[in-house]
Amino acid sequence: MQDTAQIPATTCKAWLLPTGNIHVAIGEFELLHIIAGWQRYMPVPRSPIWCHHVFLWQGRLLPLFDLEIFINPVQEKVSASFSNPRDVVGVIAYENQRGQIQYGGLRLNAPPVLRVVSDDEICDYPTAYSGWDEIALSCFKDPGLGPVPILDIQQIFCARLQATATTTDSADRQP
Amino acid sequence: MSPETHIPPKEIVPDFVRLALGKTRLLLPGKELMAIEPMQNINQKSKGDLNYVTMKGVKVPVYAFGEDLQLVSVKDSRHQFCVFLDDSQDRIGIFCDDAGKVTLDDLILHELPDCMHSTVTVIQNIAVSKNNLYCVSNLTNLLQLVRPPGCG
Repeated sequence: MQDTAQIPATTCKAWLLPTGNIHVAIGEFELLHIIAGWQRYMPVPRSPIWCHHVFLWQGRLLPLFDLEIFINPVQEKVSASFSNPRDVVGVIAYENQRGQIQYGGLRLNAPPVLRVVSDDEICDYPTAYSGWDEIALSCFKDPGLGPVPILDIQQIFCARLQATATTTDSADRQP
Repeated sequence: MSPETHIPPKEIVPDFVRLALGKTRLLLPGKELMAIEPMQNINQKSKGDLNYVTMKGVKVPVYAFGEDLQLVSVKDSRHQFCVFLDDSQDRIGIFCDDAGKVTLDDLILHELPDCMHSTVTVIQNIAVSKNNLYCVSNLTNLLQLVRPPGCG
């Protein structure tokens, strides 16, 4: 096990999260738990297609956020179940605007990997999606994965994105 | 007695109407329930785009919703029940797959998470009872789905 005291000040640990075609990252202590994707999720009608289900985790009610659909909402409709048995859900902690610790689920394609991120790896956001600066804090370049945005978890789970998208409506959103 | 210790006032156990629309489980206030009728007791008529049922001499508009609360054809044969709702201002019938009146004494109401709000949100809360999850709404909110914006 690596001694964190020996890590230079310009580095920190981050979880690499595979979400669809891209990887994103969150801080080491923002990820609390990994649960299997076959848990029971309940659809919430008329909620955004990228956050259309809730589930119970340790007695708490959590929203399930699908970043892949958020980034590309026209590519698919809401599915009530996970099609890939390897899918997992990362349970993430964040602080809301009132300073309260809250929890949310993030749909992942595979278990996350912890790695050290250095300040000198900073790079521009991936060009395939233009809204990264609204939902990410920064971005670093991974040798194997390319640009990896560091998610602004609070922005994702706290912002009322005024979505009009549902399974039946258009997929506009107005951050 | 410790200042932190207090006995909460005895609350009235809430009654709800439970509706199943596919995989969606809705809870509506029990006080809005007029009647739950099996479909074989329903004599449905149409006038233009409006479908209605005559109940106690009064024409009641009826609607059917899919899992995402989108309007669907009332002629869908899967519907098993019609739930009649009345909040003293409006009266409608909703066709659904299953329905019943329930008393959930262990009910915990959660606010809808911020990221789940939309411009067409009609769900007020998520209710948890014995590890079952329900979407909580009411007649006023459901009417938003059947009336054009700006009406009623």
